[in-house]
Amino acid sequence: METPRAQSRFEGLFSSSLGNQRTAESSALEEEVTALFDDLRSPLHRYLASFGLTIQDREEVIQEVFLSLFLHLRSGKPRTNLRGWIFRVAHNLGLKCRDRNQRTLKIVSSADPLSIESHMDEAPDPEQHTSSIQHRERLLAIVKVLPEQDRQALFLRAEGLRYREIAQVLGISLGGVALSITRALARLRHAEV
Amino acid sequence: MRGPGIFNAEPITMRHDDGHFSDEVLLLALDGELPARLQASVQSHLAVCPNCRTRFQAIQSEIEDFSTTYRSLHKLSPPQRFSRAMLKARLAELGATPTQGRMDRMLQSVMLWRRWVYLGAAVLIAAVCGALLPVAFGPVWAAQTPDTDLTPGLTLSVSVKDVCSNTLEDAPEVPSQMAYEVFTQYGIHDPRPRDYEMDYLITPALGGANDIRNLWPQPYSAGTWNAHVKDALEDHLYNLVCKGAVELTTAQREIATNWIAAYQKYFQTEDPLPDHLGFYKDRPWE
Repeated sequence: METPRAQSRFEGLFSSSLGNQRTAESSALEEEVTALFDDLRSPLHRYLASFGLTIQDREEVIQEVFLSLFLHLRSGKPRTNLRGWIFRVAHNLGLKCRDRNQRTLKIVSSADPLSIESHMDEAPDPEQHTSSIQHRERLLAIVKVLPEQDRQALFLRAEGLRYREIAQVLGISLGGVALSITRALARLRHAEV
Repeated sequence: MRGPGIFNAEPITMRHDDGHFSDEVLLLALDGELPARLQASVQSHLAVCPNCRTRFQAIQSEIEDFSTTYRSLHKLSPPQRFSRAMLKARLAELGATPTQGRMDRMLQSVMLWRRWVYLGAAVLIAAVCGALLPVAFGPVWAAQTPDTDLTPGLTLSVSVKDVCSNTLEDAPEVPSQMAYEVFTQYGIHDPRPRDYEMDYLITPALGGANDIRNLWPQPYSAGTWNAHVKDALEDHLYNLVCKGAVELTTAQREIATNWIAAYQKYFQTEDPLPDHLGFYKDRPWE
């Protein structure tokens, strides 16, 4: 018969082994989440800029997204389409953050919802640079006046999301995504003529 | 003709009256998102219809063009390695909590106190990378005006009456933890006491918010356009607003957008007035 002391030692060993296993799992998850962060931080920054969030807000939202992802994965929830999941959580947190800011504070300077537009890389050739700036400005002027859903659908597509993923992020049907993007493209096409 | 069940929530036009597929259908066909029979039908149609093929290719190329332009925009600040290190520190903290219930509570706690967690992570990173970070961030803080990404300027919803009836509190002293957070964002990891004013870009006297997005470390040593000179502008603008000579929102916007230009405009001078170089209003950070 096992003595209480031996049992306790056994439990200690068992829990220590479990603890090590848990630590190893956590480390692997941390690595996985950090790798996804490396891949998606820039796309998320661009997307969240379209909500008119400051860089600090975007940074905080992104941190929260990946902390939530860690818990999501750790609790054994589905791993299918993590990119869509990440954008959906970022979209929801971005909306919350924007609502909170609108209720309490107003940004006085550089509060353009498309703040991304002032940071285009310079082209080496001055003529090409001027032409690309004009093209960009024309394009962004149109994008600015698109309905929010159309604009967000277009941005998400530009980030490489599939239509099904965009539908998931925006909480609309696949048909809704198709309508939004074709409407947006028609506006862009019309302006180029 | 309207679409089948998959599109019920938002029915789309499948075919035009002339029998050609709509842009929406062609768009979804790009990703193979259509039901198999419809996808096959679109492919067969494209094979024999040059007009639809041209439209299909145009949609594809328009999306690619837009994506290229869109993705060429944007710069990131602060740099990735900074926020990556911060995330890793927070994940390690979260990972150390063993049970589900405790994990949830931990996340809530992290969310609620995220600024404090940010600070802890930032201090840790600063300790580890102290020698490298100033190289990466150095040029940012040397400026006489704030980084508009980090400090866009924020206001409370206040009226001129609120501002001028002195019902607003005096500029609250910035808590030291918040000040360190601002310094860290500006890449200043070992600020010397009394070298800076932890400045509200829009002074609270003009409705500026007590928020990190309205704070920046303004060096006293930044040439002639230093913290003393900006203090003088703040007082002058306050008087102008309360006399009705300047709209409150104009004053807020101008000081947030370019306080030096605002100074030159309202004092009608290219350079700071001699009296303002030693103007003393707000306390230095220490």
